[in-house]
Amino acid sequence: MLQVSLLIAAVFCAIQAIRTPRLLVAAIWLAGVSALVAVLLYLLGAHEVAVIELSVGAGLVTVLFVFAISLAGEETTRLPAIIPRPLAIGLVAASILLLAWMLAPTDSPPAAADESSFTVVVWQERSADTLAQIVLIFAGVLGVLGILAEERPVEKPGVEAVQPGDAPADKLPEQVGFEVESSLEREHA
Amino acid sequence: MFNLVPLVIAFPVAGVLLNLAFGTRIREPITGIIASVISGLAFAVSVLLLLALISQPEGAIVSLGEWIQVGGLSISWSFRVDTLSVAMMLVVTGVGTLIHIYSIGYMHGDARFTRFFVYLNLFLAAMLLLVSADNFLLLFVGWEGVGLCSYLLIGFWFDKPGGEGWRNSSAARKAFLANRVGDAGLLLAMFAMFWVFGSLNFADVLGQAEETLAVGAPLATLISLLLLLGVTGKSAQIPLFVWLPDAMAGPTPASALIHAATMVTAGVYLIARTGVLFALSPVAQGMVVLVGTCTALLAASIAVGQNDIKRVLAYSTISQLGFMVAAVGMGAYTAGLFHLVTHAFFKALLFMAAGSVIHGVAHGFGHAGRGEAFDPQDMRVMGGLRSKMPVTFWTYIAGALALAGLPPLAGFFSKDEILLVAFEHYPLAYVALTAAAFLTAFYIARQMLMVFFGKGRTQAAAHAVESGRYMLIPLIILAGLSVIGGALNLPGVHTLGGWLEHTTHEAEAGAFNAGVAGVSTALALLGFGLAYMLYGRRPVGERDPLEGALFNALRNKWWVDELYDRIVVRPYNCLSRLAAGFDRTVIDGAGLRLARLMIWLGETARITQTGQLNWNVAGIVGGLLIVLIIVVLGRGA
Amino acid sequence: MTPLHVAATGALVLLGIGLYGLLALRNLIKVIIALQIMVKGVVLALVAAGSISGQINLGQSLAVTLIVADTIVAVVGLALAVQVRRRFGSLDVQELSTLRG
Repeated sequence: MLQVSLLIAAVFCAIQAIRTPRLLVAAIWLAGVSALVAVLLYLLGAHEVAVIELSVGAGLVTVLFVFAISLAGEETTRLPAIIPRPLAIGLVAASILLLAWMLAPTDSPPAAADESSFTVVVWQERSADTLAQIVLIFAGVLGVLGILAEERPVEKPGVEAVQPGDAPADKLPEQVGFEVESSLEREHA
Repeated sequence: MFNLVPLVIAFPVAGVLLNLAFGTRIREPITGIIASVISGLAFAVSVLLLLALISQPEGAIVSLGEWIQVGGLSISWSFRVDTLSVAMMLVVTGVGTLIHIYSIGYMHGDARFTRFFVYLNLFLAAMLLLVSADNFLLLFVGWEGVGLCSYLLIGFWFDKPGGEGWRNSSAARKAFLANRVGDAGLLLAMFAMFWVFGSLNFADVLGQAEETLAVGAPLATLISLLLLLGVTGKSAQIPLFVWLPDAMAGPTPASALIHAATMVTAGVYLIARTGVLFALSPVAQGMVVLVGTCTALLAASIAVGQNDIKRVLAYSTISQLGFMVAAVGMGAYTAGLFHLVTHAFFKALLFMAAGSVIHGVAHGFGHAGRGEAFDPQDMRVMGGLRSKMPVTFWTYIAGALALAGLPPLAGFFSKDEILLVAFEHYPLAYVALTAAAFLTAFYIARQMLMVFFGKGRTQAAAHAVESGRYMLIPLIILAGLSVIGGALNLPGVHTLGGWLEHTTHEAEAGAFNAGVAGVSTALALLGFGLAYMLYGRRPVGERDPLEGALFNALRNKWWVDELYDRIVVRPYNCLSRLAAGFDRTVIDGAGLRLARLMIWLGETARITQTGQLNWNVAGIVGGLLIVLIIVVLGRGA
Repeated sequence: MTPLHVAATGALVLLGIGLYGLLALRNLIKVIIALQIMVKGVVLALVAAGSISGQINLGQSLAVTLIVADTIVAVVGLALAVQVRRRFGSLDVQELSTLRG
């Protein structure tokens, strides 16, 4: 019963995270989901993952969200969905039901639990995964640095030719994309 | 010595390249002098070949190497030096050189002075290739080359203002297209020859002809008639003669060189060269005589009704070409080529003298002040030029008398030789040709009287001036040749006949017939007298003394152009419009409709590309759903 | 109803909620939150699968990898969102429709 109530609480938190119009509140609801899932994981016997989920998912990620929201600014306006609601619900329901139907016959008996310990699995049997994680972390750091780099003033000599003022006055809305592209290129240069 | 023959062609080619490369950098007369010297060098080489031939009259074939080697077809760059080809070379380079010199004066001040001489040299190269080639394909190269130069020179003043440039270029296109019809005939004749003889070399084709084909064989007739079609195109015979009068749109030296003295005689040369084939087909020979005779008479009659000084000469040329074609059709190659040579002298002279007249009158017009629209080629604005342009007048007289065939000038001997052969073998042709000779005397007398006698009918004519020495010296030389040219083949001596005998194997040295000569001379004098009665005694104004239904028909050239317009040009235009419509609606339409379908598909598919994140996710979920359904269905099965 | 069934059901429900969020939400940061919710469901599913097949530690190690990857996705996504906000002045995904065909 404990699991069921924990699950219901996690689902409630998730729904609240989606529903609330305030970003900061949504991030906190997400932290709640993360914490409850961590407890569920612990109850399932996955102690290590539970700890990691709690620290990373509920801790680090939430901090990041708060940081990002403070940078980007709070937007509380509730925008109407672009996709018609029945269509969205229908798509979600259909795919979840199909997945559930595939998962349904999971009553196979648990296999013998003669397994290596978590550390052995992670560091020896799945060492390639570990390596990939390290690479991924580096890539992520570099990506964030690239994205968050401040827009430097343009200094190249040939730039006069592509000053925004030179753009044709009767520009079509479609051409905005190219303008963004070219400004990105300028940045790179 | 015979190995010099490639030089005859190489010199003009060098002239073309020289003037092309440096022509823009050197001053005006220099390019013309270069071209003239080049032409003179070619003439000198021709003279050397002539000297070599005198000691060794059978000639030689000079080969420079292979050109095409495909299957059974073997074509080489080989040139034939024999009495016929050297005679042609001498005429082409000799008259050509004089015309080059004349052009230096005539084209003075023209914006495209150098280009004109490049064309002239190019023409010489092509024409000499034509007459010296040793196989039909090489001959065809020259044949096409002279056609090209003719086109370029007719349309030389394509940019004159006031619609005249358009008329000039139209005339050039007309000449090119009419020639193309004839060229197709020559090409088909070559195919047939290769089919029958397996070769295109003169020696193979002409040597085997008598063994392979019997007299009157259909194949011989076919080949000969196809050759005749080629001749009618190039030599302006019925039915393809209509291009030559319009070709007078070109500068007068070009008319003299190409459309009077040399290129148009290529057809006569071709028949003389392939005489063996024509001899095998009496039907074809009859056709040649018929075409030549009809052309001679028809063109002479039209010349009577023309008022443009150059057009009279153009129809006169067609008529004289008809004489030559008729002569070679009768097998009288010597007579035909004799007339070709003398005609080259006096017709080049007449054209260049006419050019001098036009020059003088245009100059006089400039002096007399501007007035109403003025055509310096219209004989009705001239008159009384005898005293203004004495040298031009006297040389013109020499050419005109030679053309009319008065003894002892060149035209008398050559024309009478043709009439004599006709008298002996083709009585009907004799009557027609004699009538043509009478008309010839009449129209040339009419022209002289309208141009040189009486009083100047306009200020322009009254102020006309004599041309410069570049133009007059060639005139004087040609006038001399026109007077004494008959000595080439005097009755009883037959220098030219004996000379050509080595090549053409005909040499039908007819005895001089005082009756035939007397009749034609009397008729010529009668023509002169008649012309004097009508045109000499009182000034000719707007109204021609001959005015009437018949004269109207002559002035309108028997409506031949209008007839061709009805039966050829308009149906062709209709067909073109139909084809264009088919092309636009069906062929292009298919592509267009396909393109429009693709555009529609793209526009339709474009709706899905909203660029909005949510819809992208929806697309992903949709794809996931499809995969899931497939997996589930696969598991259920 | 074993704990495993509960975990599997929870995984599916969280996945569904996250998916719906992806479809319906227009704020970029909330889209990332929806993505996070989906991933929580998947972590749960992985551990549950490991538990069912008796290879709980394999499931755990995969889950760790997933958490790391997901965290990086969140970090990069948030950085992007910040930059989008700077450039377009809004977090509305509709404003980002420059790829519209």
